[in-house]
Amino acid sequence: MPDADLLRHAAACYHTAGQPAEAARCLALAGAHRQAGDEFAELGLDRAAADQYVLAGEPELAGWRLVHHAGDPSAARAVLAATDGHSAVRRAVVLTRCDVAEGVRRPPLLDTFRAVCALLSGADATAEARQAEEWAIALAEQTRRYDQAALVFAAAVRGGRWGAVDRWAEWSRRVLRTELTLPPLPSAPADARPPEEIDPMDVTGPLSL
Amino acid sequence: MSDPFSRQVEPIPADQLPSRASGRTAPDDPSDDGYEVDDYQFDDEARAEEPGSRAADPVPAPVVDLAGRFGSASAALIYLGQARAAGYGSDVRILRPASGPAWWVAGTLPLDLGRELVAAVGGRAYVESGGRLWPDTGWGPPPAPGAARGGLDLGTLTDADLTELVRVAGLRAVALGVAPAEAIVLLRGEHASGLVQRALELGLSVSHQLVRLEPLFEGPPTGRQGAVARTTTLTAMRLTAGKGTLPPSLLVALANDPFVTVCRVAVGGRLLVEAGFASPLPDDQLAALVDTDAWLLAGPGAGCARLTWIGEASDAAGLARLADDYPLTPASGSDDPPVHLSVPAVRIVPARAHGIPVDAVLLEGDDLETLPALLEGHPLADIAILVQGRDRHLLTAAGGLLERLAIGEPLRAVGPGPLYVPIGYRFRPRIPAAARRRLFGQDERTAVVALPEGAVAFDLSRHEPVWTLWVGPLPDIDPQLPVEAIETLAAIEVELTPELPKPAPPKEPPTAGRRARDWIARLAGRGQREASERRSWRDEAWDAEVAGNLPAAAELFSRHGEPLRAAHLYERAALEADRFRR
Repeated sequence: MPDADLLRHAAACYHTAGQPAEAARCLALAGAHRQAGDEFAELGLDRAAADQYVLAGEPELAGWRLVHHAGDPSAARAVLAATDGHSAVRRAVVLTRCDVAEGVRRPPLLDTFRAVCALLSGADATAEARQAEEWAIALAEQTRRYDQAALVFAAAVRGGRWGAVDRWAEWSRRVLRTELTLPPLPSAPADARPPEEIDPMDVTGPLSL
Repeated sequence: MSDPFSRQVEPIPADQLPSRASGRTAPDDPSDDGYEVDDYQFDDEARAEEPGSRAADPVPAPVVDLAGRFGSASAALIYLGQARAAGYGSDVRILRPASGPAWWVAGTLPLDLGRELVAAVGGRAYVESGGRLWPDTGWGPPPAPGAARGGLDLGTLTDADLTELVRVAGLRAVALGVAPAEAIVLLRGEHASGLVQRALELGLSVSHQLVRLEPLFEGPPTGRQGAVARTTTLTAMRLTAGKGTLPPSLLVALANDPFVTVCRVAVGGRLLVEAGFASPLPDDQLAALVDTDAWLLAGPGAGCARLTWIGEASDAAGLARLADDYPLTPASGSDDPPVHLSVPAVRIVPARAHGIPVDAVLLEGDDLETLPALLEGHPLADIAILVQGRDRHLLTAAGGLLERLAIGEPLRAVGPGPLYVPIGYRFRPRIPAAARRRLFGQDERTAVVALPEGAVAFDLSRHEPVWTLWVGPLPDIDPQLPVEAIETLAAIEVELTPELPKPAPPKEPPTAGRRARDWIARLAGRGQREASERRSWRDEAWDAEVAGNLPAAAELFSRHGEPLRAAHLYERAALEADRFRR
């Protein structure tokens, strides 16, 4: 049995035995750096998690863990500068979060939220969009831009992101202490006619934008 | 009142649409001023109704004798290359004025194509007519003779050779680009072995052949190209990648080497162009000028030359020479004694250790008196085993103790099998697993503890559960049977006591008396220990562990709900295998 498999078995057993730190250590030895990073993150060992994320080729994850959880924006910037990541949007969110943490005057919040909304509205990879949404909401909470949080959730809902409505509702209860009421999702009105039946010279119908 | 917005918009009848065929607006339009517009019509239907009308065929561009004037040889050569690539220029003439740097390229081609090509390289187009060159306006019909002032007399220009144009245009520096699959390196013979050795190390095919170089141009070198001053002979090494391309780093290194010239092979080997350079004329058109085996176009370092191959190419592996004083000697049949190597002795030296779990403990003689006090009531008492020695003892457990005790020397298992070293120590030099087994001889029956002052071995067949240290003989057991049953059993025992050898009695089914006798014997502790004592899964795990089959032992612990020991054994197995590979 190869080494990595043995170490993965060891990690699973350590997890069952209630020793997640040992499990994370074995995963790191086995080269499963992403999983090791997730384990360290759950344990609150943010810097260890960031190191594993860097080894796993996820500098954006490492940067977010450093700036948002460990409170070290300079380390986050260093990680992003040293490696090329996979997602410009997530990188932008991390860098904006660094600006906020360092007290930069006029960080590019709106541009960042706009980029996240565009990502959520598109057909991009689910995992990347899910993370971008989560980080953007955290950034919005940090900067008290609840309007932007609403826009991000709205983009996720329109983009058909799974569970977006539930996450929005839960966030509204937790942060705004209010129940979320959403309008019905876009659908054809009852008196609407199919496009081919509409005479372009007939102006008696209701105006529509 | 009708809704003004409910009217349908009717299309304008065709006969009321203005027709511009005659350049006039609507027939009764008072603003008609007779302004003539071009023949292009917007209303195809209206045009189709006119008698005799039909769609106009596109007018082909006139073919003229076009001459381009260029301020540099490079521009002229680029124009020529592109004209030929477009299928024209077979009758091209290269012309030079009596003085000045200008170059003229004259040929027959469509006017629009010629205009475009000339303008693209920054030249000026002229149309030849009547032995004079008339400047072209760049648009519209070709210039009519006498329409513009001047006109250059064609007789003032003299013919020049295309090779001369190539020489003057020279080479331009280009990026190395994508590495090719083949390259030819020209070098002197004394530099060949080093290149061959490096190429063979990279897995390339190498062949060599002598080549004679003769000057290609007669004039002095211009621009970035060099010139071969005299006939010379060099070695040509052909490097070929087995699959894929040549290593880019090798090509870069060769390009920076002043003693070699690395060339890309073009047009089946008829043209060798130094890497990093290119002529304004495409390779296939240059190759048409080659009048020998091949041409070399290179920078100032090597120059341009005509190449003539000498002999046949042969495998260059033979050029890799052996080191000096490296004779071949027979390996067998020598009477000399074998070489004795001085190797360092294996030592146990201190090493950093942090968080290493305890697999076993080495106890001194008097520690046994303290052990019951430590382990009585402790979970380890159920699984720990003790191997007693002469004045030292080994305490361990299947899967490791995994706990620090207050007595003894904590040990870690380095394997394979039951080989231990104190925690905080390691071997020096580091010994692979197979060597450890061979050196120390640990196996299923012998455990070895390697200490700085020496190694101690324990006979594992003498192992006993640790609780035997404080658990003595059992108290007497009073079997609670009725008096009549005891008397019956005693009588049966007397009757069945054998006196003489008798034939083996037929097997009798177990009777109540025999079952009760066995039960009494077990309670009283009488009777022989069974040869095949019932073994537990923990014994199987221990056997697998001392045999070195750690994954099997780990699987047993995992299956029986001891994940911590399973994890420890899996990790030990992974680390032992990794240490072995290192």
